[in-house]
Amino acid sequence: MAKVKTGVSPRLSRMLEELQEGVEDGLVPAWIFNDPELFELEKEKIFSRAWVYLAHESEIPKPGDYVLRYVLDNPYILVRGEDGVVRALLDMCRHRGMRVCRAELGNASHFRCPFHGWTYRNDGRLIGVPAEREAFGQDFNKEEWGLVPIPRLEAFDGMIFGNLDPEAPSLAEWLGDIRWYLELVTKRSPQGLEVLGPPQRWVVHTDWKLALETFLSDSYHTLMTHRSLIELGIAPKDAKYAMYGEQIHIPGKGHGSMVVGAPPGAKLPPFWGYPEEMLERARTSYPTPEQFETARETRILLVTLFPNFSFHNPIRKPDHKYQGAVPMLTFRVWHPLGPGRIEIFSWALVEKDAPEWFKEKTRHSYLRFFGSSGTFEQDDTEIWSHVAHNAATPQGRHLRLNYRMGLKLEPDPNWPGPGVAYGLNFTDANMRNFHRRYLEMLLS
Amino acid sequence: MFTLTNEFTTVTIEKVQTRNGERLRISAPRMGYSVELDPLELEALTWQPVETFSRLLSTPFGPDEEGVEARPLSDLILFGGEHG
Repeated sequence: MAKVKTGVSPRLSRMLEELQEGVEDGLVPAWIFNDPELFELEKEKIFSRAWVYLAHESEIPKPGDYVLRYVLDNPYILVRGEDGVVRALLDMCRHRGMRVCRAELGNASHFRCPFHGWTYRNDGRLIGVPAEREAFGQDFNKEEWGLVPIPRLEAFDGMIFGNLDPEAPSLAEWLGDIRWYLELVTKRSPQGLEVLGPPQRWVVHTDWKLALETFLSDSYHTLMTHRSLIELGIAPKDAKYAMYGEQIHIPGKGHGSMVVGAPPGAKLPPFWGYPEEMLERARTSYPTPEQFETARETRILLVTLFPNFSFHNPIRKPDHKYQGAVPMLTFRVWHPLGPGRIEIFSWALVEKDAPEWFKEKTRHSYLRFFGSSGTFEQDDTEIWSHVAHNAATPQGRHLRLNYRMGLKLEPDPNWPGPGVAYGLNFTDANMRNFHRRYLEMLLS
Repeated sequence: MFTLTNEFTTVTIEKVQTRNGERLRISAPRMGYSVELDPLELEALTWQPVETFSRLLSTPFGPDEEGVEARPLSDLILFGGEHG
């Protein structure tokens, strides 16, 4: 483990040593969830160097389609040019730095700055300057003054990521073996996924690492946090339903997955409850037979990519009467706004070639359970905000929190996928792996 | 008539009848410009690359006035100037 570097204040240096001492032992000081100085370091060491999820390609399918997306507070116009190429352009006019594009989504061949009218083509080139000759002279070269592209932009199976670090490793290298688990949804159908509308967005007074944890390793909270849904008959009767699965982490990367099957005795349809025709398509669509067999036995699948992307793909009952099942898929970004404050970007997605009736049902399922109005979401955000509040209190900040669940578990040697798998999903193994990677980046 | 809007501008589009035919009137109400295109002109638009429109937008607020020289205000207020 690296030594805590100089260059940070003595206060932060002491704090990082405290984190370093406990991380292998599953002890995490509460202040990591709400500290202004640490947040500044996270911005510099993590979010300025990490691959951050921006959008799904189906959000910008046609030339001129754009969405605004953010890496930290840097606004990027993610736009498909007239040439079909997707670019991420810093939304900052080269003349005086104004935003040239302020609608969160739209379609435009050109962007005209509202300050002085400098006009850019949607590939970023500056093409129009009011009173160009009088104002800037004959030798003004517009080619030198285009919008600035993000240093790195790469995609994996329609998922578009950006990186502020020109020296960053490739996206493929960054993802590593977690791709096997991503493919369980991206390659479930030969046509891939599409978004069901723009992302829902809302602000929560919590830390990005707390929100992410729920999706990376915490199946344990469903016992209590979501108890009302069990009582309503919406979640399976067995409150430990999310325990019956494998928890897998990718060492050195910080990524992880939870692959949950059916609770013992529960009559849940295979393959998340997706329609039979989709199951048949998946048989040939998945790259490997192991992925198909894993998918067939899966009822709930979660994947989290370091640092702040997660997806959740659970089987869901359509209502409390539970006639059949309607699975749903949500992608989300835990976008850091400041210490103890995040904005959640939450998308619903479905296979492009799913039947239309199913697309409508799965959208309803998402709206009922996730997204800004979702029942699960209400439960989670209420709790996350109180934890973040306590983490900033003088008495609470140095409490060491218990990340020791499953510390004695042995890896499952029979798991067919890559990474280190544990045969019981009540473990903090994925979070311990996350904290190791987190600390490594903070200290690098 | 229908209106097309994005965050940068608004245009109105309508079919107008001439005595013997029809044209498409495209208006930019905020700019005060309007053009009436016949089917042949519209057809010609269908094979224009984006570069054509970038060229048209090189003056983002309409055409620059040709032959207008920018002159310093001092030209007008100095004794012995043109208005003296």
